[in-house]
Amino acid sequence: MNAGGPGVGAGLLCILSAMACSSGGAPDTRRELLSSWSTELIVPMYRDFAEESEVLAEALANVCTNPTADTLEAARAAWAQARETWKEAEVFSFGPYSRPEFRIGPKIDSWPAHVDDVEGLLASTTAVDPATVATLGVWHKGLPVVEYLLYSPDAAALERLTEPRRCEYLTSVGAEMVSRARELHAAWSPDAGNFAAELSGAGRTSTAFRSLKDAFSEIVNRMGFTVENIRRDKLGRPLGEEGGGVPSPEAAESRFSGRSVADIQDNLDGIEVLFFGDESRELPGLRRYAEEHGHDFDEPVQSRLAAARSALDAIEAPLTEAVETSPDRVREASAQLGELQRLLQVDLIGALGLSLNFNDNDGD
Amino acid sequence: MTATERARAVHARSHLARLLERLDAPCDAAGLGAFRILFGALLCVSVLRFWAYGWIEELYLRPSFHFTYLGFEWVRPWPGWGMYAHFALMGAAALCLCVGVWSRLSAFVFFVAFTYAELIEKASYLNHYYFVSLVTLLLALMPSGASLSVDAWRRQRRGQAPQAVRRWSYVLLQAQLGLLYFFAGFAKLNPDWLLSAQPLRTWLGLHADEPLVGPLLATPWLAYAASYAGAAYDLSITAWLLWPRTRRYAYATLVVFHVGVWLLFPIGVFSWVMIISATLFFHPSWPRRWLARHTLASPNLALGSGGRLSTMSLGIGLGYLLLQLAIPLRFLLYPGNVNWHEQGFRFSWRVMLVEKAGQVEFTVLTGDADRRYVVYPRDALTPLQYKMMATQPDMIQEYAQHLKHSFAARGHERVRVYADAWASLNGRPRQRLIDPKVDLGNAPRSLRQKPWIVPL
Repeated sequence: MNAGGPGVGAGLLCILSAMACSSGGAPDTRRELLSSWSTELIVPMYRDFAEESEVLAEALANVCTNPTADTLEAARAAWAQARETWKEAEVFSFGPYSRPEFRIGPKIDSWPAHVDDVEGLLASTTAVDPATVATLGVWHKGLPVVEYLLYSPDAAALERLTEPRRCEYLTSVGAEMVSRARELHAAWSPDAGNFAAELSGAGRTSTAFRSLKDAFSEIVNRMGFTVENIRRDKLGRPLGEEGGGVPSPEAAESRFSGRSVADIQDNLDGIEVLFFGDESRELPGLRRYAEEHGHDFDEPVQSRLAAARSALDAIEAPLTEAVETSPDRVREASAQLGELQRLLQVDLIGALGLSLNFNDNDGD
Repeated sequence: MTATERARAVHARSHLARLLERLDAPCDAAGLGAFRILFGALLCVSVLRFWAYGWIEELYLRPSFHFTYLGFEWVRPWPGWGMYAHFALMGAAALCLCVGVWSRLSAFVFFVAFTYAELIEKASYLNHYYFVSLVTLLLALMPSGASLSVDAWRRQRRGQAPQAVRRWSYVLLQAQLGLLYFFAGFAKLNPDWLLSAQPLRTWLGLHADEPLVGPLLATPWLAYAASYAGAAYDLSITAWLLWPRTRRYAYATLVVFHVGVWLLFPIGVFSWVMIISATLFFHPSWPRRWLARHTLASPNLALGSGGRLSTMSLGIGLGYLLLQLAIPLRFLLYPGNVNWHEQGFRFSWRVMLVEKAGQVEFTVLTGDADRRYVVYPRDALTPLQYKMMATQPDMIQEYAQHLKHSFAARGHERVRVYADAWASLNGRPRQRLIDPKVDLGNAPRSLRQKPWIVPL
């Protein structure tokens, strides 16, 4: 190489940089956004969930040692609080949530609860101490099992919690949840597993995402997937869409607490904060990136979210009842969510070119 | 026949004779031999990639349903380890082609095996896979092992004359490559590409994080410049490669262009297929000149008896090229924007033209009481299959018919399937792709225009 090589390279760099700066190209804020979302949104959400799981575990221990209406109500409130945070975070159900080396999400929330599995375990001689529960399958642990034990049957839940084995199981499930919630938080936390760095280091240091586009697409596509899952699993299955229109209330999420629709509203809250950000804590949203690239999705996303929420609010009865007594309202909610899904999966993804790529066989 | 007509006939015959003579002229086989080696090596790498990346499992074994090509529904994956054996055979054929062992047979075996694999799953269609099929077929029809091969070495040991390679072999392969480039450029002459710089503008913007050139790639004017340059390049590169005075520079440009594309987009071995194939435009003796510097003996140029071009062979060759001309133009038979309805899109060298996003779900009605089922197909398909189906009407129809048969097999009567399908093309707002009132389950599957595709 001659001595002029680096000089030529530097000159070219200056020229290219000058051309880029003077030509109105949008700044690339994706890495900054990914960094903000992971460290200021996802990690705090999982931190909150871990703390709320601890509160829940304490409340479960309380109701077992002192089974009164008040302690039961406190335990239910603690479950609902943890549930709310968990459902808001559902839009981020990738990485440690689902990757084979972690798969923490299903251990916290595999639904609908398999009542027969739970009752079968309680009727068996298998130990239900924390160490044993930690080794059991996903249908024997997590938020849905806690919900079932706290709420079913509604009138006799307190009485049944006086059964020592039932209560031991409940507290063990609570303790197991704390472990998993801490594990999930640690997997994301910069102080421990630091999966957050996989996002911000995409295409550079990341082993999970080979390009920045892959990481950004993954997280943006999650919004549409979440809405699709709501329609298919949370509304469609209870409605009986898979069964020729015969309702299946037992397929509903959070069916014992009557929180099915609230779960969905929390899912939408998670999507909303990802898209719009949170001004109160100076958290940027995807809207900023869209705007920088000449696409204004604020009004459409806002109006579709509002329409979906309104349709969900119109389902007055618990979902388990509504699918039988007022299925048209449930269908209308699904239709409104369908509009939101298409906006996110077709318009937004198409405009920003953020379709997921799978391998080299994915192309023209 | 009048004297004038007789004169015209004689004139035409003399033209034909001259054409035959030119195409039949002996050529140095070294250029074809070098191409065979490089192309075969690339095919080996390609087969290894399929194996190493788990694509045999992902594309052929894992899916419970495969999207098929009309008329080739019978092409199915082999059970058990059969697909691995299939790819092992393909790899062996590629290796034999590379080193020139039974070259034509190896090319034919690879052609059959590779094409079979590609026909199994429509979702994995790629233009360069189609190109590989065509080129290996052509290599099976010409003396591809005449030089720089074990075949040639064996002939020499047996005291046989070297196989002849005539100009038509080069011309046929050059024409195939030239048609690819021409139609790739021709397809870019559309308003999205020329007036909006789409989809390049969207795609290049996603590379804004690249070191050094990233900010530049995100600039709108570069997208326009790249769009126009890309179209001009595709339309003219063949001419520049054919002209000896510009060939060297054209090839250098080609390498830069394809390596740049390879760096920016996930297109696998496509760039290397093109870089290797373009060596066919070099002087047929280029490997000899290159190897002379490394003291390799020159292969004998004496002609054997094979390879002479008859009028019938010329007719077949011309027929093949006419077919290659007609297939990419068949989109003209279908009204509307081919990038939207995709009738006549495949096998037409329409590369890097569309950024599409789509979403589809199906409603199935059964019986006289109209029992209603809603099918969200994502879980039943691989992510690649779903992504491809969501924007391609013929795949949506095929899946609808699969649902019809599935429901019928479960005892349902009067099964009707409707698609709720939406898509966006090159940044446009979404619109319906399929008429939701049409029962796709019972719509005939054919090459005729599909009236149930909603026009753009």
